[in-house]
Amino acid sequence: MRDPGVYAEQLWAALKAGDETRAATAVLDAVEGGVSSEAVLLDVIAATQTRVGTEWAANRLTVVQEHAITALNDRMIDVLSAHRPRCAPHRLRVVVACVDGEWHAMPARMLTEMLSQHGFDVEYLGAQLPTPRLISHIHRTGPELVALSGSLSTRLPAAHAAITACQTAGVPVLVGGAAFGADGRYAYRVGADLWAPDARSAISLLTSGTPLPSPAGSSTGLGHLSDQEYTMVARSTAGLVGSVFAAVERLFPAGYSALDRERFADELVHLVEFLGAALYVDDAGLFTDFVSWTAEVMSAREISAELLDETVGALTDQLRDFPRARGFLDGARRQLVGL
Amino acid sequence: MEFAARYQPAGDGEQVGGDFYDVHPLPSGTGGGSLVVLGDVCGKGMAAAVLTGKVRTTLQALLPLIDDHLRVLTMLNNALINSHHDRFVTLVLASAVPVAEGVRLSVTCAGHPPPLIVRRDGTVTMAETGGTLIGMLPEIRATTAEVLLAPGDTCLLYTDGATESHGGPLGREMFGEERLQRTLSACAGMPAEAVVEHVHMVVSRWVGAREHDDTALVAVTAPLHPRNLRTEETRDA
Repeated sequence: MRDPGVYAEQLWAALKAGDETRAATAVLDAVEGGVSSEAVLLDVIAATQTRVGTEWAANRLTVVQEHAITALNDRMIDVLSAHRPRCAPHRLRVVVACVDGEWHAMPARMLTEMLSQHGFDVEYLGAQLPTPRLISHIHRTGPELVALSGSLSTRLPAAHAAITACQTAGVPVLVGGAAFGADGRYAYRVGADLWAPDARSAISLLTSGTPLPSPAGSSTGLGHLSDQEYTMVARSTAGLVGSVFAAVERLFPAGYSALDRERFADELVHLVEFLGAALYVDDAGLFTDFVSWTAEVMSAREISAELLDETVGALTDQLRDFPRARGFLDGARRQLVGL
Repeated sequence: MEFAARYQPAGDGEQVGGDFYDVHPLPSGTGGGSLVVLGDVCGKGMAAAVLTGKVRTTLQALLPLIDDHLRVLTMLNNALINSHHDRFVTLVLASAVPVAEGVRLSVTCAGHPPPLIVRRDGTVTMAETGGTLIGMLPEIRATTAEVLLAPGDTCLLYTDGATESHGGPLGREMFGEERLQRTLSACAGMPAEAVVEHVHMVVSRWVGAREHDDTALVAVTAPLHPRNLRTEETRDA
């Protein structure tokens, strides 16, 4: 058996060229070369998908290429699924869905395939699923577990709503994905019954023989929401973006086009959304991590550190009367200085 | 050839909106192609849903005549004008047939925004078709555009939920035709699935948490790399 990494390289080259036939050949070569179905999924397909994210952050891929590659890679799961040995469902009935508003469907898609390989009776509902639809679906089909995937921490409030609604319907919720933090700290904050850092751990958790927890009801760690800071920031996103934009416009590089300005405004929306999410789970690190990451991405895209610093500063001015928000913003600025 | 679609109904709870799309196989003898129908029934709620159902089933019944788009639209118009006095529908018909050079499309709009065509080099044009909306006037007219999609080209059919959504970073601006064209231009050479996903994502982000209208998108793509049989899947024509 060859190292799965060889096939991952082969797949990556084919996906970058947009060549589906070559990509499928890489996957089938791996299957025929004796790599296990699980390793093809995780060490070839998923490993390549991870690379999409890092290449994008380093500005070596555009968002559009990211979509094109992801769409092809998604089909590679179909190719693998069609060419692996069947396994009759003999374990739990699981519904896999993404958090409402989440775009990244691949992790949920991978988990679905993993569960299916391990004999779970699994149903995949995809990305962009409004929470009310998810709830009416579980009322209709009565799964034993909902697995909820989230990549963007900005959707944590939506995740909380979905988790609570599933639990009210009597179904425990397993969560996973980057949105819930590398150590899963946000998972329990928003009331999840179970958390797994990745698909492999999710499988070992669910096949360990430990009975599923009964659904927890509502989370307890969100008392800080009574200060209304989250609500205010979430509600006034457009207003905040407008004020900050006006305050830092003078720092735009010469030759900044209308399109550049629009993109910058879009970045501002992200910034305010991450601040909102940090306020929701009361975790300064969530916001600081996003700002540091933005700083890296921006320097890859040749946007000045000064602009980012002034932007965070202008947002601080707007939120003078919100002590928790101000604390997060000051912390992020200190972090920027250290970079 | 590849097809991909996205449908986003207005509001979270609403199960039936006024936008719809269908893909039907063309009758035999027409080269193994497909007919894409995408439309928008005016209004919402039960009455609109009933009319949507009627339009879809009528068009399906008229498939044997689909060689002549204008004739089919005229018959649909006659069927609606006698029973629904207060409602109308706008729609696009696109007959797509795979040919050696790519995909041959015949596109006809009836009161609907013309589909956009993005070429492999990023150029975006509007299909040159136009016509009367259906179910209002006793007589209709419509012109059909003949378009050849070369490998890497995509034709996007959409409803105005995509262009007329309000939002943006500052919350007040309309997404608009120009922004849609720009978004699509960046999708040059992509698979159909990636095109609709990208456009849907950009429009959804534009709308954010605000109220949005029904949106339907269908992409027809002549793939850049033709597939061999080993990877053939049922989701593609």
